[in-house]
Amino acid sequence: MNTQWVWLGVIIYIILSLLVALISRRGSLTDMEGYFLGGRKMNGFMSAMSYSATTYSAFMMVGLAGLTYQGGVGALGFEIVYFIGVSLVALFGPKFWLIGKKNGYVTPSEMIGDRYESKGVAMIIALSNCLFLIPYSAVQLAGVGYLLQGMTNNAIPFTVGVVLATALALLFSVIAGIRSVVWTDALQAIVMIITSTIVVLIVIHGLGGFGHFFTTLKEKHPESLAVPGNGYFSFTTFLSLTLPWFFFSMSNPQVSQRLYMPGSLRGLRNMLMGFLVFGFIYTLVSVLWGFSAFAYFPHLATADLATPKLLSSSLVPTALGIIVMIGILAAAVSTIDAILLTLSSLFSRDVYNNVKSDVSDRKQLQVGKVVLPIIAILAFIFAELQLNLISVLSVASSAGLIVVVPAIFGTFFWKRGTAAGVITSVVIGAIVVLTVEFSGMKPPLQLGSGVWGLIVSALVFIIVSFFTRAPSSSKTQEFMRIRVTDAKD
Amino acid sequence: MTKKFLAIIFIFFVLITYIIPYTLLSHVHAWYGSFLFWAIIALVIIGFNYFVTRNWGK
Repeated sequence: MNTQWVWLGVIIYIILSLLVALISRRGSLTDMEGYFLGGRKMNGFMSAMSYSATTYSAFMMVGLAGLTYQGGVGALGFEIVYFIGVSLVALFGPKFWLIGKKNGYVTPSEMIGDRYESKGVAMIIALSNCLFLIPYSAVQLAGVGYLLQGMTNNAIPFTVGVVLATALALLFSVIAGIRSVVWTDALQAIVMIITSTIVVLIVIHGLGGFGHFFTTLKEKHPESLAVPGNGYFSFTTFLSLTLPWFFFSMSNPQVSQRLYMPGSLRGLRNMLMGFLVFGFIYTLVSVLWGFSAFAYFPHLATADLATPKLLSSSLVPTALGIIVMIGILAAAVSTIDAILLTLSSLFSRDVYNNVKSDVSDRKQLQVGKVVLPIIAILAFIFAELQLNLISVLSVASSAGLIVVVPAIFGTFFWKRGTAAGVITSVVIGAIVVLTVEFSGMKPPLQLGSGVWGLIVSALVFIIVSFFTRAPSSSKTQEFMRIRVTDAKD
Repeated sequence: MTKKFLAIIFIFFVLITYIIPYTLLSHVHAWYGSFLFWAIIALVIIGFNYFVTRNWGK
């Protein structure tokens, strides 16, 4: 693909996004709530678009398409299980929103720490989130490097792509905190969904239309339309892959923190519904994209090549190919900037604030702003080093974050849960996940690290809680008694 | 409609999402097999959430 055209596309994208980020600068940016939560005043549409752009990374049009190429329709099932899991927002969303507003929580770990009356709980959850999410961001950054490098036949070197993505993610986060992240996310979400839908429709049209397209798959690759199909999606693999993603909306702080932001419960509902509609379309589009690559190039050396190969094929007009590439770049950047911002709030609120007592809100914000570029640089260095360690941690991220799920359920639904139960369940659960991932061992029953991480952390949480002292009943009752009807918009 | 009933329906959706494609549809090699089933489940989930959250903020 012509390098000059690629650069032109990237420059237009940068200018437009920066303009949007600058326009978003209003409201108070001088306190933690204003900077990290937009003053809890976000409207439903912007929240929905931003939630979508944050959730869906470059993984969709590259990774999920590759997964479809490799294993067929099971990839759709994988993504739909995640999609169903977002329904947990209907259960937890109003509780997060109400108690967050009442007690002024900025991060989910702060809320969980307060519920179990333990600073240690807040710190350990914040630190485990950082452990798994920084490598995940690094891999996203590396993805941008590979994408630009691959699309231009090395004319744009790997490092240039990584520097570009890091700089953009950092800029979008620092210009106006969450406000600039949400506004640029909304723009990027619209770019992502429109470009990917158009390109898939054009490609399928080029392959003879939907009818011919599915007939080709049915006749030449029938196994791709069923599970276990070619064997890639055995039931245990499917279960191991999907379980961590079912709990994604609760376990990943960059999305669960969004539950504090809408200005009203109505806005929270619009965020959820808007996201579900977006997710449904984007999921189908990404899977059809993978199927198209499979129908057109059934014998690629690796599934990772499916997207670059299809984008540079004669089925996709050059201009559209570049726009889609920008859409994928936007998907990556919009995920990274949200993670950067969330992790810096976790560090300042739950680690720094708890290590040093009586830190003012202003000081916490200062620390958050200092930590933000440090986390970005850390992710950049990890991406540049391309260490095996980082890719293992990244793969382990969804499994590693799941170990907090029992504690989150206990926060609202189990009076007997204790701080000691949370700390031991998170630490031991994370050790189980990391041991399975790093040792390369085959876990019992062939179930993945996430499944065992969840089982072990749930058991440890329950057993340790039974043998330790529960928090005060007033705090517990405050969390157990939250009702949707308590909301006054 | 009670919360318990909604929870049972939700668990039912989750279970059939895993079970049906690996049993009844494992030999249906066409778009109207697992592809259509999972797409319909996604639409049903959208409807379910719409229903469950209908009174939020009212």
